[in-house]
Amino acid sequence: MNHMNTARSLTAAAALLLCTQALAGNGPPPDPGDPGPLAVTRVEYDLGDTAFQPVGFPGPVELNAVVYYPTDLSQGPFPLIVFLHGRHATCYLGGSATLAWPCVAPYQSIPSYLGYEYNQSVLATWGYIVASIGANGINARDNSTGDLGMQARAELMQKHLDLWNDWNSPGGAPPFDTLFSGAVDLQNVGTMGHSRGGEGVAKHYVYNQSLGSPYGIVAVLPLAPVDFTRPDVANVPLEVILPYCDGDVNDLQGVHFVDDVRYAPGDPTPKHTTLVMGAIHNFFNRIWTPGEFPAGTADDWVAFTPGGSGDLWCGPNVPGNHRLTAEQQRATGKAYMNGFFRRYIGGEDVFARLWKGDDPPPPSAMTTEIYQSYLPPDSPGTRLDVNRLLTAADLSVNFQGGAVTMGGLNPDDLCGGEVPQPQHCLAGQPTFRQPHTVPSARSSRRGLSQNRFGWDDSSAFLENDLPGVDVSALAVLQFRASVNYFDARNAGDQDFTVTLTDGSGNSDSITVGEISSSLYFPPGEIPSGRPVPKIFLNTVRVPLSAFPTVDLTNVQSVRFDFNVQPTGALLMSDIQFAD
Amino acid sequence: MLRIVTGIAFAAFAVVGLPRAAQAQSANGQITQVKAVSPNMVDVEVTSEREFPVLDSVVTLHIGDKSYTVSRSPEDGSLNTLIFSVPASDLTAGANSGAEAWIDYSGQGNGLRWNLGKLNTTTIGKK
Repeated sequence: MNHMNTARSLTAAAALLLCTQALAGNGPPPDPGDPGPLAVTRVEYDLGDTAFQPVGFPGPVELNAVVYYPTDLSQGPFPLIVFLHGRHATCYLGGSATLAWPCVAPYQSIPSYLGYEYNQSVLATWGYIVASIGANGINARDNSTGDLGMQARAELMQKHLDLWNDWNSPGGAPPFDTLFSGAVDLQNVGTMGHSRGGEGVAKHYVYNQSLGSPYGIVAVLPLAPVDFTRPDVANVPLEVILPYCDGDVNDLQGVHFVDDVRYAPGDPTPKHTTLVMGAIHNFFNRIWTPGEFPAGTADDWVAFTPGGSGDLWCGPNVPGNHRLTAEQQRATGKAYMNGFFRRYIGGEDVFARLWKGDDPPPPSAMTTEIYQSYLPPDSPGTRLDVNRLLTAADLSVNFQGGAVTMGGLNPDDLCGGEVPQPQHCLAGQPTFRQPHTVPSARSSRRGLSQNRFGWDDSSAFLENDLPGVDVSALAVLQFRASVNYFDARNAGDQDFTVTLTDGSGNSDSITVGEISSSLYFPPGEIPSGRPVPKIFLNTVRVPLSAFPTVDLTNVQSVRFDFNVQPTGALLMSDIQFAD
Repeated sequence: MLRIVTGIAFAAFAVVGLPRAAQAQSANGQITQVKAVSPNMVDVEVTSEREFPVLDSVVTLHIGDKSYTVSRSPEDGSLNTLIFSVPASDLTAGANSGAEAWIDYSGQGNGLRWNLGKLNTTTIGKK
């Protein structure tokens, strides 16, 4: 059977129906958090706590997992999705936790791999085999290795795929014998890793490539990840989910995964970030959540942030706070993790608008305070760069060779990118409030180049002239931007006017505030010293339908007039037309 | 002068002028052992009554302006102890004597901090 397997057939049929209904005005877009039509079965495998030895790693690692799969495997082969949990205590006795491996009686293993069953059980109903694997053996010793265990995580992932390859073979293999024979599509594999597992799946993608790509990794999702070594995850759909109130990886360094590869030449795949404004680090894993397991749990924001419990935005007990409950956070995780895999493995185009940020968060996410960003593939049909804003030259001549002019901007420079740019954009502010430029523990790589500018009166403008470009096949003008919370010229949320002009002099304008809420003033208390507010550049997508009189086959300029608020300051990157 | 002797555990470092906890998230700890493991490297063992949480961000030992991020737990997995790998040259010949020592996560990350006091290499080897 070819790779257009049952999962794809099922989801394509469902998507067609739902899309047709939506277009006909018969209902809202489908909700990726909803369960599908298939009955599922749960099974675990456990080959032992010391069954695997990563090369050069200072200890053995377990080979175990919990698996959800469609009960009727005869309809396969089904895509395989592998989850990898993050770093956490490994053993427990009563309420006490330790970091040993293997656990010695009377201590028992903390089953971090069971923390995502809320997600696996739903994803499997749409025709996926979803395995969440254990990695306690790595967590117990990874800090003693140069790469903090990332290569070991990659090898562990690959070992599990090797096992699945055996189980998928005609003769099968213990302990499943022939249960999964022919039922697994190992050329359609997705990976999700949480925290250090997030970098683990990134490293695994690169490792699998280095082995000649024996398995087809077609979607990679780091969740609240670290990015210590900065591997490039290019040429595969990539989604990074980031919790604004993270109390562990509180610098949101995982945004580097997207920033680092967004201009990989010829990359035919999209990159996404999803910023969840009320989420913390641990609640995505049920076993790490207070009240859900007897030991090792924490509300990481409260436990590890000085004064965190009193934070007006992230403090869970402050009246009017914006924190999500554990249930809400898992709901968000379920909607966006499942939606990503259904979009990019299942090929459900009905979710395309959600992944570009053009649809609001689905009801099952249980929050609307989510900012979705999209960086399009490098192809003429999906992207035409106006200004990448990478070097000083881009402040005078843009990517299309047109002049860049400004008036009344002070400063108007670049920060965060390569030397000679300053390493960070907000001098004197902690790096954990500047995720795009935060240093990495095992890499000297710099961060996202950003245009840093501000204005003192409403005559200020920034214009990119263009050589009559044809963008009629594209859908939006988009850019990434953040309000600079540390510039006193911002009194609150920001806004400005976007104008397109064509070769005949026709112009249309729209204000960003009419179509996007992404220019919010970053929430948090500046003097607190806590990790919020943060600079985070979300995508703003201005539909080209907002410029009805402009000839989109001959666009001559993109102009921003900062005339909505009398003063202000922004950080901006990646001005482009997109699909 | 600190001498590194292979296989011999050094006594506790003196803790001088240990500051009181400056904030709710600060705690005190102490360097309880320095042990040579090779001609070039020593293990610096740090203990605290308050557990070092198992986080995804990187636990870091600071001695003055130097930072060390390669660490491990003891064999029993106790969260009250961490053992850091440190170049021997950073602790010999009086290097860094008097420097403040502390532990945090990812440099300035989340405000968790264990104050270890000032390093006093003149007392190394004396219980």
